[in-house]
Amino acid sequence: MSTVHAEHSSASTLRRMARDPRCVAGVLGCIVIVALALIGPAVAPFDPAAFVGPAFSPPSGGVPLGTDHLGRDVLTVTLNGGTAFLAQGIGGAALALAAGLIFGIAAAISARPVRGALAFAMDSMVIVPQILLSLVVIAAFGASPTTLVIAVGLGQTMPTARVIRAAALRVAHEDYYLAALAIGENPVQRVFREILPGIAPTVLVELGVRLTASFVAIASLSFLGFGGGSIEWGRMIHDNQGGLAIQPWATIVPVVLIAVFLLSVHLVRDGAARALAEAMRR
Amino acid sequence: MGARFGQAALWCARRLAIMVGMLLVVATIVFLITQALPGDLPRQILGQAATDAQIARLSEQMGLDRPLIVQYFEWLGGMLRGDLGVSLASGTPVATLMGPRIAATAFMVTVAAAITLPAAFALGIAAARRPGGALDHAISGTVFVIMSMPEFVIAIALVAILATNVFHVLPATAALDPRIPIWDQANLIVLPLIAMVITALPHLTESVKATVREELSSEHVRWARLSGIPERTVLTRYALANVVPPSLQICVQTVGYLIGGTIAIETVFSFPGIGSGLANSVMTRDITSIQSIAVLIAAVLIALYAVADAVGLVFTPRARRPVGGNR
Repeated sequence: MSTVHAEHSSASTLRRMARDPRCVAGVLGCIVIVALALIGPAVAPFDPAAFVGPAFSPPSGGVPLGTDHLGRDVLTVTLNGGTAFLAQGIGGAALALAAGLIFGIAAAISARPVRGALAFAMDSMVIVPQILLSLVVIAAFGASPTTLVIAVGLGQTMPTARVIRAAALRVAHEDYYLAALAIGENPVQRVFREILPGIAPTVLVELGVRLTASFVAIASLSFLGFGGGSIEWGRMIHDNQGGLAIQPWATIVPVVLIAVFLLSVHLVRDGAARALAEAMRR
Repeated sequence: MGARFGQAALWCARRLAIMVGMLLVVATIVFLITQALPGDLPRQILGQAATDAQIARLSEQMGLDRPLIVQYFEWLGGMLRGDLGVSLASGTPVATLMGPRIAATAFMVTVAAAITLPAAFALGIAAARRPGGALDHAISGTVFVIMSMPEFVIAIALVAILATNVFHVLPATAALDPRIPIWDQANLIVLPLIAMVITALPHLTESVKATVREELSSEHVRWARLSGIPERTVLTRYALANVVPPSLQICVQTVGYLIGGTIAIETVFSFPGIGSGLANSVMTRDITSIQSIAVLIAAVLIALYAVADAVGLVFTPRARRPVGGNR
């Protein structure tokens, strides 16, 4: 019975999103960028490491977007730089959500002193700017693509945990949760049977928030040079910024791709949150 | 009178204890991440080619040969005395290394906050007074776009538009001359300041707008209007008085955004501040500098939140009334 209802409401949420022009524009933007990143490496005209001309040469016949700071083809590097960015962004969001779920639920249903201590730690840690926390992690482990994902995930764990905690606390005060407690369900059963289904809508919205934030953080940190040497859009901007006056394409193209992608993700997330809220009101 | 003073003193003592507790949590977690987790920090810093003697010397220099708990309390004690430690990368005290950078960034954040906070209130209030108006829509749209972007994208766009490709009216970098006071090199800091204000403005504007709108549609504002009190007085005396306390917290959050944002923005403009200094320290794995700066920034923000709480209390008569009295 409840699954039928859930399917009905998720279908109506999707219908609502399809009728929202801003949300549709966001979905299209995401599809274009993701397709570019996935198909890119296969259709790139050169090898991403090949030198095709002098550094920062302007666009010409063979190299439509000119060359970068090392003399590589900007189009080729661009087409190869999206996969890592997307994968790291998704990884960072997944890690933040997983860790946030663990801490958040623990802070809602564990014994009183533990609960209080966790809540106090969360309130303290969210004061530190997220990027600063990520830098601390990168400094400790050294810059590499894996560290980047861990740094972004840990940087966002506490804000996520706070949101999850608030939602889990609401469930913990519901009658059905108290009933589960009374009939002696163990903590694992309570988490999987009562808490998780109860906070599912919050988790869904939070996933959207974390994806946007995680892509922003990945882009910023790899722009700062902490991506660990992989070809990546943020890194391209970092490397080519000095040649902005002579060969703007090497910087502007990745900037525009990142901007379009982040705006699209934000549009989808916003549309989904609106549709979900409307569906819940019914 | 005496009871009220006692209440205030009690509140201050409680707040101070919470502040110290929060700072301890931050310091402990930062210390644990940087010191306890990696197995072999000296080898990571010196590289695989380093000899065992070099590793041992660095371990001793970093104090890594002593028990973790001893290291922790020595570091914490140093921080409490205002000793930020010695930079691992250069061997100079962190305070000497970062002092001028801290001053430069503090100057920038103060100026940016002095522009952002009034501007956000002015825009937010104006938009809230005419819901659905042109300004409301323009603000919502701009806020949406800017909030999706990382700081460095906005900074690079500003450089492309105002300093290189489209117009060339401002310098593209802000590499200050340390011998000249910062305000005498004003043309260099205009672009970084614009970038800071643009990136910090949306969040505060949006929340001021939402709070003022809610307040303007509240019962007591409706009654004030029905009683024939002029709209201007309704806005300033009745609506805005209740907007201040919740907004103060978000003002401090905005200062936090400004500080976090300096890391990318200062790097774009090669501005010699604490943000680009931190990025450099991460490059050179200068753990002591990063630990100290992170805790310092946390301390500043925690103190600002406490000030915001205290000021908010002054603006909220209900909250400072003695408990149980005046029923």
